[in-house]
Amino acid sequence: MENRAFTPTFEDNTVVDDFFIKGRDMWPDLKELTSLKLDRTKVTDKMVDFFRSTALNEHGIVHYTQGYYRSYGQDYKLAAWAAIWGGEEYLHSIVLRCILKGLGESISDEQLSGLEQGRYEENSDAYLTRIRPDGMSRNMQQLIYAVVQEFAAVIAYGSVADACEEPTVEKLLHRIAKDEMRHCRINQLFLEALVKNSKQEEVELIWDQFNIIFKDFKMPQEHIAMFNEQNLGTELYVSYWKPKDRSRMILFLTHYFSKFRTKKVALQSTAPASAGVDIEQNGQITAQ
Amino acid sequence: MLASKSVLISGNEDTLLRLKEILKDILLLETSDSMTANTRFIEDLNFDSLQMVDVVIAMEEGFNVKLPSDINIFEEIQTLGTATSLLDKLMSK
Repeated sequence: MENRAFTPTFEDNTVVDDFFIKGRDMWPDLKELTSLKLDRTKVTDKMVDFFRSTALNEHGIVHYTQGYYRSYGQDYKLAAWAAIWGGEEYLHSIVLRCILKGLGESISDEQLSGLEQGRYEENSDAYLTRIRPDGMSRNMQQLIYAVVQEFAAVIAYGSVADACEEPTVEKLLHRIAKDEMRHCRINQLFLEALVKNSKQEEVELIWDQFNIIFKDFKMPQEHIAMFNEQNLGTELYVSYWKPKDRSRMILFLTHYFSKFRTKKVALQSTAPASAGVDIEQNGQITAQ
Repeated sequence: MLASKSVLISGNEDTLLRLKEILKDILLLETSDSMTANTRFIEDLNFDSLQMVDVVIAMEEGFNVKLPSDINIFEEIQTLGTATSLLDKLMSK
């Protein structure tokens, strides 16, 4: 489906401009974060690994933005968003590296080169192509994935913040989670704009595609071998997710993507006729 | 109020019957007879945590309600019985 007709999202710059302007005000204290002094005794080694993984993952934005460009290239507004998103995620990488430095920890050269030399494009494109249904554009699929991925990031940062006893780190992680929620929201807005301009047959594919992505969800770094080689993959993130976090993720994403469902679960009238029951207006049933 | 020659069944049992029928369809079962109020979604019906998406959709669309976003579904929807109670509460609003 790579050669199908181009379908645009927004015709003007309003959404992208608003997002960009608000994002400029999110981290006014960035310079101060470079000299953080943090209490290492209040942070577990596993959390340090999470900070390493996320710092690397956010630094991997070059891979991910290139992926967005491959998906969004024809749509200038979406491509502009990809550029802005790249900047915001790189900023997170800086914050996370500041946390590591404040804790007296660091990222190794081997980890950094493993990230930069990872074969993300080949692996990610193969994955997306494999699960993309006939009739769905790459733009739409990428936006579905991005909504899920960004909300997973909200949960990832939030769950570690909840578990962290270092107060400054906890606050910083919650701030990053808030940014990720903004990213989730703008992807939703772009998806909704794309849906408005798309054929009904394509819109009908959204729910199933969400299900496929969600039920086999992996953070984007799974397509870069270094993360799993260093035990810095999705499992590290998910290990912090409590049932309440999983519940939040399921309800948020189900509520969002269910709006695109066209084949609804049948509203059951009552028990099978063979049971010999009648339904009354008050919701009670009487057996004959 | 009992109808003549009828046995009154509570709304709660009606909800449970309807939920069982929906789940039977989702799980492609021939019958829902083995399901009771004590049947657990994850341990007995083999829904994994990600497949709870299907349970949420079944409950919301099958009963025309919306589950509050701030509940913990792994506490409030552990069994068909707890799911039924939640549905009855939401439908009475």
